[in-house]
Amino acid sequence: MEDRVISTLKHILNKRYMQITLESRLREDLNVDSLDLLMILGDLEDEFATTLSDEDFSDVVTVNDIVIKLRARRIQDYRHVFE
Amino acid sequence: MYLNEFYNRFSLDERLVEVAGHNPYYQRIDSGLNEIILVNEQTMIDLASNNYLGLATDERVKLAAVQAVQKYGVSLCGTPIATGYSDLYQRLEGKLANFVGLEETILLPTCYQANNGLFSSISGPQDLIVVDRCAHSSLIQGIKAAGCKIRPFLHNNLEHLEGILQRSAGYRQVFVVTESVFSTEGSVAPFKEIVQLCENYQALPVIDDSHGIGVLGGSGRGILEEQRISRYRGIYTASLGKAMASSGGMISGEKRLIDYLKYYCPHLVYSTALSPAVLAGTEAVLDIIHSEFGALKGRLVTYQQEIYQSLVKGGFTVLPGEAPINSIQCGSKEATFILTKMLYDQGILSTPFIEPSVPINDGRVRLIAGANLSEDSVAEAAEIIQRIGCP
Ligand SMILES: Cc1ncc(COP(=O)(O)O)c(C=O)c1O
Repeated sequence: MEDRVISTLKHILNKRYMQITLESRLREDLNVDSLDLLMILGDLEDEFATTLSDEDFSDVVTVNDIVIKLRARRIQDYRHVFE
Repeated sequence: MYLNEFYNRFSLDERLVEVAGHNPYYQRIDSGLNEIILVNEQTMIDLASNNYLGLATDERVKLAAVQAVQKYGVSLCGTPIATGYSDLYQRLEGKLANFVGLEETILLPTCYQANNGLFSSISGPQDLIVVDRCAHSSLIQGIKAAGCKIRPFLHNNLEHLEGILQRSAGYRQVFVVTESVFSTEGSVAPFKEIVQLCENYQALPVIDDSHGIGVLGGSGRGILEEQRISRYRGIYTASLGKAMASSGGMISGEKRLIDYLKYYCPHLVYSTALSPAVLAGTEAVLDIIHSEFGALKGRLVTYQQEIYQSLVKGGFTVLPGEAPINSIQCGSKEATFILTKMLYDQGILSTPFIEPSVPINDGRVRLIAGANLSEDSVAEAAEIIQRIGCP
């Protein structure tokens, strides 16, 4: 799950940052603004075949916060099972 | 007490202006957009306005506006649905529709208002709007107001857009929204390909051609002409406050849609119509474009290249614009303001963009040298830019 979240972020922000970790802060370290966040959530929806509401994610600070929220939504990391 | 608390919420952060020693916003302009302009009563070269073709102070345009004032006064004091719909208004709608090659056009007081009103009139919670990440505030605000699902795509990135469209089943309607020219950087959207993708996935394209109308295409008709997009069945909006040297916002498209908006777009129905001087001025601009576009565009392109060369020689990081815009990449907002001040101190008025107009830490200073500038002014500006050099 963590890897897939980070790789989604890298895809959206790739031109700007190479170093993205679970501890990276979205706004302060990665310069993520509200449109970037919408883009990230959209791509995570595709990645995990789910629907996410941006309101639920408005308070995330770090990359790990996104992972926690996804887990709380019981989003299964099916791919992990097969790996 | 409660009043103090309320008003205290609105204090501005002055730090940026302190660091730069300059506030580039709300500078007072004391003249028209002439060859040399007066800013705070000092003479300056205008590389800031969107007066691409330099027609804002053209004598023929001024005369048309003055004559309209003589005939109609300054306002018809009504919305278009009431007393605001003058013969000037009707004629300009027809001419603009014809100019961009679409069936019908409506005119709103501004394009900000047009983009704000459009989406809530045509879409709702069952729809999806896919929008370029760098789209103008008026589009983003308009889309947000529609209450539909929003998915931004990476700037001008067809692959990302297609990926989203592939996974967008189940909506009543999918819209793809973008701009022709992204004015903070001068890039042009691959709109022909976007229209094709829309056809493949049955999405409806919406283009804001504010910086393309009067600039792009062999005769200035904008993005559709430039990219040879024929039989366009999407929606088109544009500001008349840039190359069209006037003010107002247009929405064009198929008659059925435009007829509907005439009654159901509150931003049109409930807002005082454009004034006679503005309508007549725009009509005069259209006439000039018809007869002189080639020469005006030629100057615009030459000037852009001259400024571009000076920026490169000065060591600036500048995006080679496909549009007649030079955009200097500055990084932080402090660096952006400082460069604006250096140019200002040397007599050049420029436009800085900082977040949220551009992504965070991706500040830009934009330079547009309009066709009304003299070769001498442009040479002087180029010399100044080179001399200042990248700080
Ligand atoms: C792309 C774009 N759309 C819309 C607008 C708003 O146009 P207007 O000034 O007519 O409200 C602008 C102008 O700033 C713009 O650049």
